[in-house]
Amino acid sequence: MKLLTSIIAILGIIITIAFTVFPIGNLTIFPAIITILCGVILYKIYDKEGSSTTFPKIIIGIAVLGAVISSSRALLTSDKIAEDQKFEQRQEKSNQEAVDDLEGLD
Amino acid sequence: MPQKNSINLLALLLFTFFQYGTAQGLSSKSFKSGEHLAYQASYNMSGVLTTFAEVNMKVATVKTSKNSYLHLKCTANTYKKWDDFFKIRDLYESYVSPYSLKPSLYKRDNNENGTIRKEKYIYKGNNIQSTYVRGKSGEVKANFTIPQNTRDIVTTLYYIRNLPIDKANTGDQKDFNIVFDRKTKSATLTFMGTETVSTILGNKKCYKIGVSLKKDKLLKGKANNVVYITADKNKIPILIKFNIPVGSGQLKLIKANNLKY
Repeated sequence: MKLLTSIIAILGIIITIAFTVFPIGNLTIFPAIITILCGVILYKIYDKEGSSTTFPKIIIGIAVLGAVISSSRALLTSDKIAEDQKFEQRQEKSNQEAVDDLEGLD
Repeated sequence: MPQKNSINLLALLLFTFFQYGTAQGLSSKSFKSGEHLAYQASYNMSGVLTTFAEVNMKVATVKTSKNSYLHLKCTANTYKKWDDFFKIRDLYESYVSPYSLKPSLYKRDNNENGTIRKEKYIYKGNNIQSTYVRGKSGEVKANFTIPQNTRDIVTTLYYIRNLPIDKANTGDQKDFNIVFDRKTKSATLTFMGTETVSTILGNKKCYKIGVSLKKDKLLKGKANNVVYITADKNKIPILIKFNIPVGSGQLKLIKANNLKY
């Protein structure tokens, strides 16, 4: 039970960190919740055994932090495309070349 | 004098007829030059739709010394937040006759995270003079033939809007050909009835059209890839749901400017 919960918690924390880095918004909540649950279970097990509870505390802390960061980022940042001069120029150039090609067809 | 009046009347009639004919031809049924549609593209990740790009579709008029063309332009840009991970700057455009929507020139200029893919088709009847660039290799020229009434992907998107969908019955199908990557693909449109969809333009009654490609793993099954087109004169594609081998997602209309009606 302890080993299985620890493995799930570690996997959960890896996914939470990865999802926090990538801009995939609220999706981070799911691995974070699983990690927090595993952290709480581990905390109770460690507490019962009388061993140090640092590991579950770290797990819970990172998961909460990841969930807060990605949720606030999803709420605060809007979906916007960057102004891209190079892309604009590519479009302009393509348009000019197309007119030349069309003149050739006429 | 009466003879002069008759000539004037005839000239006026001819002028009116010509003007009417030109206007009928120049303006397509469901869109006009200047139309701008913007879509938000989302990808389904574990059941949660994650927004990743904006797709813009614009119609403009391009004039050469002898002719006038409709420039149908489609661009795809990833959102700022995704640019550091996977930057997409895709351009698809087609130059078509404003009268028949028959394509004369098709261009594709893709830059997907640094991977360049360019293509140009010059339509000459059933022949296509193509030029393409893939990756770092130089320009390659290749000519190939296409079946009658084959269109590129951009022209097809606008062509669908001009189909008389209002006269279709549920289950009705229409086959057509699309040329993509220098290959002709047979596609089928299936009219799946109507449905009310919540959009930025309010709740709209929409035609539900299933799109599938024959003998192709991409866009398999009519119910998996659905286009919702407003059941009005503008026939705007409001929502496009796609299901491809690598996942599913949707394109949702977020802006519609300069609509014809």
